[in-house]
This record gives sequence, structure tokens and C-alpha cells, in this order.
Amino acid sequence: MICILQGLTRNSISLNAGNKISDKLDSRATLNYVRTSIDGKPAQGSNNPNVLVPMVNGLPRTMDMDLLRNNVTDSNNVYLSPNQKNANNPFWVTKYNKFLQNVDRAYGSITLTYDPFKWVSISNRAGADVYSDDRRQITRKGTFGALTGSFYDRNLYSSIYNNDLTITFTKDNLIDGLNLKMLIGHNINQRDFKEVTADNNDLVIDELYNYSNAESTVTTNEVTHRRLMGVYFDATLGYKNFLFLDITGRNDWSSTLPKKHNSYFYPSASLGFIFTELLPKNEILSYGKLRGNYANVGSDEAPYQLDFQYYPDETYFNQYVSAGTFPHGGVLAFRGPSTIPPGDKLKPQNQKSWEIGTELKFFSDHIGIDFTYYNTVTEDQILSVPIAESSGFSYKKINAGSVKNEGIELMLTGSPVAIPNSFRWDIGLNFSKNKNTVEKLAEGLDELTLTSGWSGLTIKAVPGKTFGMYGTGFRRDPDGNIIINAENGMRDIEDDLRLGGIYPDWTMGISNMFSYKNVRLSFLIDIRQGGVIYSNTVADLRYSGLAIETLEHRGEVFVDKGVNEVIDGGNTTYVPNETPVRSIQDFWQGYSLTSTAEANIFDASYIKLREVVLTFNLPKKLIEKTFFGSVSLSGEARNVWIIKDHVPHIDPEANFFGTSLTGEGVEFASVPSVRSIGFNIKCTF
Amino acid sequence: MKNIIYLILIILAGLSISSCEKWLDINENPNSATTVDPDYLFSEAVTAFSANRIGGDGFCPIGTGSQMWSSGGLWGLYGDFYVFSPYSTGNCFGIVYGDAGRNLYLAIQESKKATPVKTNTIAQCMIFSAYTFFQNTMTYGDLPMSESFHVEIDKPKYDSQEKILDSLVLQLDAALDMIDDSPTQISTNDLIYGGDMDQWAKFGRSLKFKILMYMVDRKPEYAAQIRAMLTAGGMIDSEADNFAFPYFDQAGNRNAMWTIGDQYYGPDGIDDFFMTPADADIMNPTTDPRRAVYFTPGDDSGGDFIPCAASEDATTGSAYYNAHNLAKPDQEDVMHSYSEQMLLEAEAELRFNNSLVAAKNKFDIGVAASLDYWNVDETERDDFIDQFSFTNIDQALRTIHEQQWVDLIPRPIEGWSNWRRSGADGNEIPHLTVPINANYPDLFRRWPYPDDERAANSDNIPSPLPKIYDKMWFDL
Repeated sequence: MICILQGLTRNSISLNAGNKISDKLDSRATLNYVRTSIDGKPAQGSNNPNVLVPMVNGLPRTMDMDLLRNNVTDSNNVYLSPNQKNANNPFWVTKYNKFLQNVDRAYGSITLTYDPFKWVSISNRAGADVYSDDRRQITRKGTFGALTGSFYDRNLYSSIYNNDLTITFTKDNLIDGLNLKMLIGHNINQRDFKEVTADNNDLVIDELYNYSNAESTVTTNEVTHRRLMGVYFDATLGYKNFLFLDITGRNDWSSTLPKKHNSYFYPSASLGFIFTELLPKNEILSYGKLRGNYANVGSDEAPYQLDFQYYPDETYFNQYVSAGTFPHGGVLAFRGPSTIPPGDKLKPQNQKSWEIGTELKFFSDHIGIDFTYYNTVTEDQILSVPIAESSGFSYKKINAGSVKNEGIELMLTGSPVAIPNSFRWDIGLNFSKNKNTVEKLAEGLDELTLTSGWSGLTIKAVPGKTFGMYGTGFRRDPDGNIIINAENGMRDIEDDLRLGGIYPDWTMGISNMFSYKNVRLSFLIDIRQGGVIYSNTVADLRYSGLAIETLEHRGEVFVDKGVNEVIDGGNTTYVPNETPVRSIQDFWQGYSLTSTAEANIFDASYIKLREVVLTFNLPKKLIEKTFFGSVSLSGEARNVWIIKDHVPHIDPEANFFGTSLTGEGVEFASVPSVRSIGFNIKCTF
Repeated sequence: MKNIIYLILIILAGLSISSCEKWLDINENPNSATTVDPDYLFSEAVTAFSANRIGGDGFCPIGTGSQMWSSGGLWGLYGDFYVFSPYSTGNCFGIVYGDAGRNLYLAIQESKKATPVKTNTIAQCMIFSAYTFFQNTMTYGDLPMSESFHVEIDKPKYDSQEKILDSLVLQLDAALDMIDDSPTQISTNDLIYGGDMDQWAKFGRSLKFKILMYMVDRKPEYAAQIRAMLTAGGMIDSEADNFAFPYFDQAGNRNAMWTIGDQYYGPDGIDDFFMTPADADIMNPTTDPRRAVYFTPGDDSGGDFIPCAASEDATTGSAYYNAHNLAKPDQEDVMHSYSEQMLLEAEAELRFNNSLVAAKNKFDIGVAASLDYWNVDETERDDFIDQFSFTNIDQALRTIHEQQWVDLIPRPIEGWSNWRRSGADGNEIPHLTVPINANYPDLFRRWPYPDDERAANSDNIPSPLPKIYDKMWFDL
């Protein structure tokens, strides 16, 4: 969703300059500066009075939006709410409760290259990437849920310095037809990070966002430093342009690992064989390549994770409201760690992968196939494994577990119709199928919570299964019938049920392009099959009676389909439910509670018309007397049509956790996806 | 070429190894300490524990689930629908092992390392730890305790509630034995008693007495210990001895319920918790002065205190939460009060000394203390107390339990626990019925174990998992 009063500005300057100092010495420098400013990005999730989506969705359908738009405050500048118990006026939030962000980033490098001989090149590249990221979330006085107003500043400073010294040896025709390229290198990398936050609550003067205007200001500061040093090589052998072998190896030393385990080596090898080079030219198979590779990647850990430490505490938790702060009554506090540190036992983690594949082209490249099978196993993952909280600690940092990803990727291309200088139809198909399996967890651990969200909905890793969603569901009898409470006609619930896997069984994209003379029409269809999605938006709409399906049986006697459990002594039997719910409102409010996860779980499969583009190239004779080389006009639409899905009211691709977490398939007051229509004019000179 | 390669390799090796170790030796955290005075761990534990029990996690869902309050069908986390946020059930469970328990444990370890050993600090931590575990077993039943806080044990075994309560009595005895005259107590960071070890000793004995009262229905032999404690005294005997954690009318240090009111409701505070029929049935016939302390009559009530049944919709006549009294910014968190102690002793005099006179005497003191705490006018207080007479054991016991319920309405965790103790199944005082819209078929008697604990300690957690309406060991 793009909100009113939301803006993003990005300005950048780039410099790229080089100087050939002598025949053998060359220099090059790059410098880039980017400033990004965001104003008014909407909040999402829960426990935040500025989350916009439920605010909008929760409004009665009869409410006049202009009334809200034009009456954010009354004549005395007192805030008006559509519902003073739990809702804010969305126009108030978009106008006043801004999320602001300014990122200043500069990055660049200086490279010196010295070629003492024709076959040797020595190069040193020193680079830096620094940024400051200033964020501010404002909540104006009068906002329900934070009536006294607040603002939160979070300022991040990051710098990465990197230096690579490499020596490259190149020798063509080393032996008859055999070419060699060998690189050895040395790398140092330093990352420094600083974070300063200020949480300012209870503002005295409205709309004055100055620290001294807050009754309570809690500040935090943290710095981290980490260093990495590595040596590596990369050897490439090519034989007569049809056989290629690439072997690499790297050894790193990290500051963040225990000294006895801070050195780790990881190799890789790949082989490519263009076998059609050895076959006689033929009409059918015009190109054929086989490839295979094996790679091993090691990695380290965040800084300061090894030792037992005490942390000065700034706040204590208060559910639903801003945290209490230390000093409390003048008394400061320290806390011990919630994670048992690994000490010197921690080892680097390791990912091993191998893949084989082929590229084939037929009939003068009219039909193409690109197929890959891959298998990736991550071992010795450095994890903060949840341990029983009743142990006194929440996590234990160890090397644990093994996760396997295995799958295929297939790309087919073809031109079913190709009439020279007239009509042409090109089709492309991308198919991928990945199987994610948790092979084992740490010893003694039955499951691992990867991501958790509101109301007990969790995504867990369980050995033998793909990552899955777990939560509260409806109780069922041995025959699978839903058990209804005979007293009130409502469904009984139980906890910790597996509600489905989060990843698709497969995905496919089909692109088509039709061209006729100067006109080109292309469209892309995306298909996802399998996996589940949890939708909090659907839950909210149904709970509030704002979804159309809640009209059914409204005002009628409604008996939910299921059975009543009858316990007589030691015997349990089930009889058909005959108890009506007290009202259809009670039914939906019980059914769609956020905490009843199963009711809000849907099949995440869909078929989408992702993109349509119509392009018209102006005939050459129209522009031949102008300074244009070519001119094309195009109209395009993205996220055009959800042809088929199984989730009501939302885009099945909505996602709360983003791509960085294992939280696929969770939608929590997420901003709706954007449907866009655009026009382009493209000219070449 | 060979020589060049050798030279380069030597340079690289030299660069990488010789200066490597020193260059990489930067993994000492500049943001934390490796040792700390136990006083600061104690203040962390006590503050975090208190904030949990009096706010959105402890008060709201247990208050409504126990029917000490009702949600009016509008708000209140659906506690009286018997739907509890897993975050609340998780936070209340975890606090006893996490921010409270872990830091108390670490404070004890740091105190043992000190020279001289900080015996009084250890005693303070042990007594407070006993309080936290008592609250937790009242909420969840069987719990890990004997194997908790051992770094080498990831999955502590579950101890039965009986064993936990017995262990807490022993822990309190050990703590009381440890109290001495040495200046080793936490003073400045002890916001409850300011390091007064006499008061800590009184509270330690009172807590032991309370625990014995929770066990004696199952273990009648403990009546002797209760009688002995009644005789020996040395327990909380004034409001000044209340075991209460303070909040302050300054930003960031205010009572959590006040903060909820301030951030969601404005100056008049929370108005979405309501008087229940159970409250009204006891307080209305006696025109209890605490009605106006706890509740505000609804706008359309004509000044009457009209209850709202659990999970039912409130009306404009329903009596609601009086935030001006209960959720003042500096309202302290009373964990054990003089009135509670006296009413428990009154019950004990009745049940184990068969003394209606001694029981009535302590009952009067307890009820007076309850009213005094809320600054009820003395005449009104005395008139109220004069209504009560003890005619026989059963009638007196019912009266005591009713007044325990009323005394504890502002403290739902204690009130709910005491209610379960107040009679055998179906005969608890007051009599409660299952809320009409509840999602379970019987009255709520425990919270479920949190998801994370179930996942991480599946070998030890009770199986089958108890339902929220299953009774605990102490609950007849």
C-alpha cells in the first residue's frame, strides 16, 4: 500500500575515475554517495498504535471516510476518534504519526594494478562502505494507545573496510589447448557498528519532538567490532573451449570465534562440459552442456557471543504499554544473560552443496532446456537453540542441527510460431521445486521455534518435516469431526497443532510474448502450489463482522456442524451437535479470534497474472530524419489479476516478516500489495 | 616464476599468521560487565516480577478468568471467555525462571563469592524466590524447581506441586536461619523493606504460614505446624509490614495499570473491567464500603453497584473498575498484606484451634486492615465490621472466605488461588459458574504451560497435558 503523505526521495552521486600511471601500473577509484529519505512509511504488526491496516479495516462500512478525513481534530484541536476504546483515525496517523528515516551511505574503492609480466597481475583493492541511518517514529499526543505521546529515535552507524590483495597468473595454451588462470589472494575485513537509541515518552508540549520535552527518556548505546582475515585461491582450467574446471579454496580467521576454532577452510569445485563441441554439427541439437559443482562455505558468528556477561538494564517489560524504566525509584539494575554462552566450544558453521545440470538447445536454438538438480546441507549451524525456559535460561548457543534443501529448477524456452518479419510467439516456462527438510536438531531437541508471532502462532523446525506453522486449532474426535461445546455451541480448541508447511510444493512462471511487426505484447503468469498462509487481516474482518461471509445466518438460529463430546465415567462418545450458538456474532468472534490460528489458516496456492506489457516501436521511417535511433512506447501493468487463490480479502503473497526471517506465510496487518499501471517512452540516440 | 610465487606465498603467510592473532583479539564486549554487585540483580528481579503480575499479563487475564472481574464483553483479553494470550501465559511462567529467577540465582552466586559471604543478601533472594515460585505453582501446578538454574541441565524435571510447596517451606526455613546481624543485606536496592531484616524475617514466616495453609487440606498433619506458628507469632503484624513493591509518580516508574489507563483511556483511566455477580453477591448485601473503592457505579445505575456476568456484554449501568483508587500512578504492588495475613490467621484459629473468639478477633483486625488500607472512614469501617458475627464454624468459615475474596479483588492472582482453596470442588466460596461464552466446559483452575516450554521440555512436562479446568494437587 502506498499511503497518503508517504514519500521516498533518493539522490545519488557516483564517481568512477582511472589513471594509467605507467605501462605496468594502473589505478582506479570509485566513490558513490546515496541519500535516501523516507517520510511516512506505515507501521504494521501489532502492539503499536500506529498500525494502519486494522485501523482502516476496522472501520464500519457505513462510515463516511470524508467525515474522518475532514474531522481529525475538533475546533479546539482535540483529537476525534471513530471509537475511543481501541481505534485511531487513520488520517490522524498518516498526518502526524510519521516514521522518518534518513540514510546517508558512501561507498567506494581504490584499486591499484601492477602487471610485472604479461602473465602476472598484482592488484590491491581497498574499499569502504559507511552509512548512517537515522530513524524516528513519532506518536503524537492524543493517539489512543499512547495518549501522552512519544517519539523513538534509533541512529545506526556502520562502517565496513575491506582490502583484497590478489595475484593472478594467466597462461593460455599451457599444454595443447589448455588454458590456466590462477588467482591467489589475501583479504582483511573489518566491520564496526554503533547504535544509539532514545525512547521518549510522555511529552509535555504537543508536537515538540525534543528530548527535553519528554518526561521519560531512555537511552541505549551499543558498539560492536569484528574482524576477519582470509587467504584464498581460484584456479580455472579451460580446455579447447569445451571443458572447464574451476577449483577454489579459502581459509578464514575470525575475531568472533573462539581462538582454537577461529580458523576454517572451505573449498569448491565446478566442472562444465560443452559436449556438442565434440559432436558433428546437426539440425536437432545445436548446443549441449553438462555441468556439476560442489561448494563448501564456512561462516562465523556475531561478536561477543562467547562469554557470560552482565548487562545494565534500561527497562522492564509492561505488557501492552511502554516499558517501565530504570532507575526505578532511583535504583539501577543489571541482568544476567538469557542465553547460555558457548565459551570456547563454538565452531564455524558449514554449508555444503552440490548440483548437476544441463543446458540444451534444439533446432537452431528454437527450443531450449536448462535443468538443474541441487542439494544443499547446512551443518553445524550456529544457533541459539531454545532450551526449557524453566532451566533458568531461554537459549543455549551451540552448533546444532542439519537442514537439507533439495530440488530442481527447469527452464524451457521455445518459439512455437516464428514467421520472419511478421508474427512471432515466444514462450518461456520456469519451474522450481524445493524440498526443505530438517534432518536433525541438537541432541535432545524435538523441535526448534524459528519465528513466533502474536497469539502463539509459531514456525518450527521439526526433524523429518519441512518448516511448518503451528498453533491453536479446533479439537476433533477420532473421526475428524470438530468437537462443539454442548453448552454454548462453540468450537472447542486445542494447542500446538501443525497447520501446514510454509513453503510451496512448487512454483512456476509462464511468460508469453507475441510480436507482430512493431507491436509486442507480453504477459507473465505466476503459479504457486502448496504451503499455507495465516491471515490476521481476515481474522480481524471476520471478528468485527466486516467480511461479507459474516452476513450468512445473521439473525438466524445457527447450529455449527460437529459433535459434542459426552464423557460418561471412563467412556467418551460423540453425538451430533444440536446446540445453536447464541448469535452469529458470537460464532464469528469465537471462530476468528486471532489466537485460534486454524480458522485463519488458508491454502497459499495461487495463479496470478503478474505482468502485462504492450510495446509499440515507432516505424523507422518515421524517425529516420530525427536524431532518435529508436523510439518505443509501452504501457505496463503489474500485479494485474489474482486469477485463482484460496485466501479471502487479501493478496496471498502478503507477508509480515519479510524475506530475512523464516516467517513466510504470516500476514499480520500487512500493508496490501501494490497494483501499478505505468507508461514508458524509451528513446535511443 | 617459482621464486616469485614463493615470495608471494611467504608474504601472504606472514601477513595472515604473524599479525593475525593480535589483530583478531577484539572479542571482549565493551557493552557489558563480567561481574556485578548482587544488589543490582536483585532490583532487576523484583521490579520485573512485580511489573509482570500487576499489569497486562498478570492482572487483566487472571482477573477476568477468575471472575474477580469481568470484561464486559468488550475488552480484557477474553480472559472470561477462557481465551488467554499465549504471551501472557508465557510471560508469567517465564518471569519466575527468567528476569526474576535467573537474576535471583545469579545474585545468590555472586553473594556466595563475596568476602565475607553476603548471608543476608542470600536470605533476601531466597525468600523472594520462594514467593515467586509459590505464585507460579498456584498458576501452573507442577513445575521444574529442583533442577532449575543448573547451567548443565537444559531440561529440568518437573516437581510435583506437593514437593514444590514442601521445598519452599524448607527454603524459607533455611533463609530465616541465614538472617544475621551482619551488614550484608541489600538496602538501597531493596525497595520493599529497605534492608530491614526483621521485616524480611516476618514476611518469610508469613509466607511459610500461607504455604502451610495451602497444603493442610491435603496434609492434615501440617495443622500442628500451623498451630505452632500461630503461637509463636513473629509474622506480619501491621500495615507497615506489608510486602509491597512501590511505584512512583514519575515517568517510567508508574504502576502498570495506571499506564494502561493513561495510554488507552486518558485521565479517567480504565473503565472496561466490571464488577462480577460473585463480587456483588458478597458486597451488596453488606453495603461493603470497598464497593466504592473498587468500582464506580455505571452512569445509568442510579448509584447502584450492578454487576456484569463473565463474558456477557456490559451495559451503561454496570459498575466498573475504579481506576482512581486501584490504578493510581504510585499504587504499590501488594504481594502479601496485613489484612490477608490476619484473615488467614483467623481461618487457622477457626480450623485448627476451634476458637471462634480468636478467629473473630483476627477476622475483625483483618477486615479493618483491609478497609484501612483504602482509607475507609473509621466509623463506616466499624459499622461495617459490626455486621459480622460468628455463630458456628461453618458459618464463620464461609464469612472469612467471603472476606478473603473481597480483600483480594484488587489482587487477582492471590484471590483466584485463595478461591480454589476455599472449598472442595463445587463448594468454593463464592460459588462460581462457567461463563456462558467460555471455550471450555468447566471453571478455570490453571493456566496452560507455554508453547516454548512444551517444545523444549517435552520429555518432562506432565503428560497428558492438564486442561485449564483440571485441579491442581492443593485444590480439593
